[in-house]
Amino acid sequence: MSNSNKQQSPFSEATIRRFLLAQLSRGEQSAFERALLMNPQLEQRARFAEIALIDDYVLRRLKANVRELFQKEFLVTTARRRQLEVSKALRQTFAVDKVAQRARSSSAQSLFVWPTFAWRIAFAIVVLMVLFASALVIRQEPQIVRQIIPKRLRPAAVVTPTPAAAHHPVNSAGSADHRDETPQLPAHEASPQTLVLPASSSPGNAPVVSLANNASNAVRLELVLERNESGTFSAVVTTSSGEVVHNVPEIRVEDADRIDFDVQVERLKAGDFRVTLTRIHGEPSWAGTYYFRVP
Amino acid sequence: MSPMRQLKVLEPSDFERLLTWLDPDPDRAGQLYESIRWRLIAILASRGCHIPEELADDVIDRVARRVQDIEATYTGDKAIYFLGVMNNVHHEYLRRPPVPRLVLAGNDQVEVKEQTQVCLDRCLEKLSPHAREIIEQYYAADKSAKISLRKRIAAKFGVSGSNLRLRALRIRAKLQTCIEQCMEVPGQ
Repeated sequence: MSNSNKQQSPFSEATIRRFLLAQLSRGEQSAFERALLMNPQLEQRARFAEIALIDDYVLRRLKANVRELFQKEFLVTTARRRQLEVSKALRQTFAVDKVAQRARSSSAQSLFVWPTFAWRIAFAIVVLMVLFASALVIRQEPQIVRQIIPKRLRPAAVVTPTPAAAHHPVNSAGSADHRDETPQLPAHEASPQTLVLPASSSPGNAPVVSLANNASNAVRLELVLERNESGTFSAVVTTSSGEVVHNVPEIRVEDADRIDFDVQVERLKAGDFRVTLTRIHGEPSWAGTYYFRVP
Repeated sequence: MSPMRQLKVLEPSDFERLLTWLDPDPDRAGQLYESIRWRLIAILASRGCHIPEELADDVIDRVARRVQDIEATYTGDKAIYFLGVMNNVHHEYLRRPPVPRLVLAGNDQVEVKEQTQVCLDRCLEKLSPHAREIIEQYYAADKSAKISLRKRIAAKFGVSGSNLRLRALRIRAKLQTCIEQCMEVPGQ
C-alpha cells in the first residue's frame, strides 16, 4: 500500500491489529467499522493485517497474551482457520529445508569450526615440541645431524685455478679455454668414494686412494680432527710440488670430530697430495695437515 | 465460498436483485458482494461474536429480501445499509443464550491438514520463481533473523522492506485463494 493511502487512513497497523483481536474501545470500534465498510483500501490493509497476524502466530512472534487473544477472539471464522492451516503448511514446507540446512551447517561447524581452536593449540604445541627436540638433538648429538643432512648440502668447493691458469690475462682470447669450472654433479650420480685422513698421518703412511674403481667423478676427503670442534675452517689441497689443486675457503662445523669435502677426480693426478686445514674463525690458526696418495 | 452456496434459503431472484443493486456489472457485483461479506464478518468477529460468518450471511439475506423495497429510494453508500442491518442482527445475537463453539473432530482436522498440504504444493507450483522465492524466504525466517533477512531479501529484489512485506502478503493472499479453490474442487 502506498504512503498516500496510509496518510488518508487515520488507522495505524497497530489499530488494525487491535481491531482483529477485538481490542478496540467502543468509540474506536464504531469509527473503524464505518471506515472499513466505506474504504476499500482499509479493507485491503485489514486483509493483509489478518494474514500477517496469522503468520506471526505461526512463526511464534506473538507474546503470550496476544496468542491467547488470537486463539479466543480471532480464530472465530472458517476462513481464518483455513488461513492458519495454510500458514502452518507454508511454515512447515519452508522451515523443513531451513532446519535441514541449519542441521547440516551446525554439524559441519561442529566438525570443522568448533574444534579448530583446540586443534590449533594442539598443533602449535606439537610444532613447538618438535622444534625444541630438534634443537636439543642438534645441540647434544651433532653426529645424528650429519647422518641426516645429505652431504651434497654441504658448501660446494670452490676451484682455485692453477698458477698457470691464474697468470693468463683475463681478457685474452684464449681465456675461455682456461675457464676451468668444476662441473656440476648429476643429481643421481653415485656417491663419491670416501677417503678418511687421520690426524696423525704423514707423507710416509699416507692413505692411498684408488681412482680406478671410483664410480663417481669425485673423491670425498674426510679429515679427522684431534678433538671435537666447532667453528669455520678452510682447506687447501696441494700437490707435493705445492700446486693448489683444490681450495675450500669455508667449512662450518658444529661440535664435529671430522670435516669432509669433495675433490674432483680429474684434479687428482697420480702423486702425493697434502691437505692443509686452517681455523678461520677468530684469529686464523693451523688445525692440521693431512696426506694422501693417488697411485 | 461462492455466493450461491451462502444463500441457500434465499430466493434466487432476491439474490440476483441484490447483486444487481450492488452493481449492474455481474463481475463487479460479485466482487462487491464478497468484499461486503468479508467486512461484515471481520466487524462481527471484532465485536466478540463467535459465529460471525453465520450472522453475516443472515445480514445479507435480510438485505437481499429488502432490496426490492429500497432500491428505488435508497441513496448513499450501500455498504452502510448493511451496517444498519448488521447492528440489528448482532443485537439479536447478544440476546440469545450462548451456544457452545463447534470444534472440528480430530480425523477431520487431519484430513484438512493433508488436503491443505496437497493443495499448497499444487499452488506453489503455479507461482513464478520470483514469487516463490519471496514467499519461501518470508516463511523460512525465524524471529531472530526476521529483520536482517527482510533487509537482505529487500536488497536482493531492489525494493523497500515495507514493499517486500506487501508483496509477500499479496502472494500469500493469492495462495490462499488458490488453495481454497483447490480444496473446494480436489484435483483442480
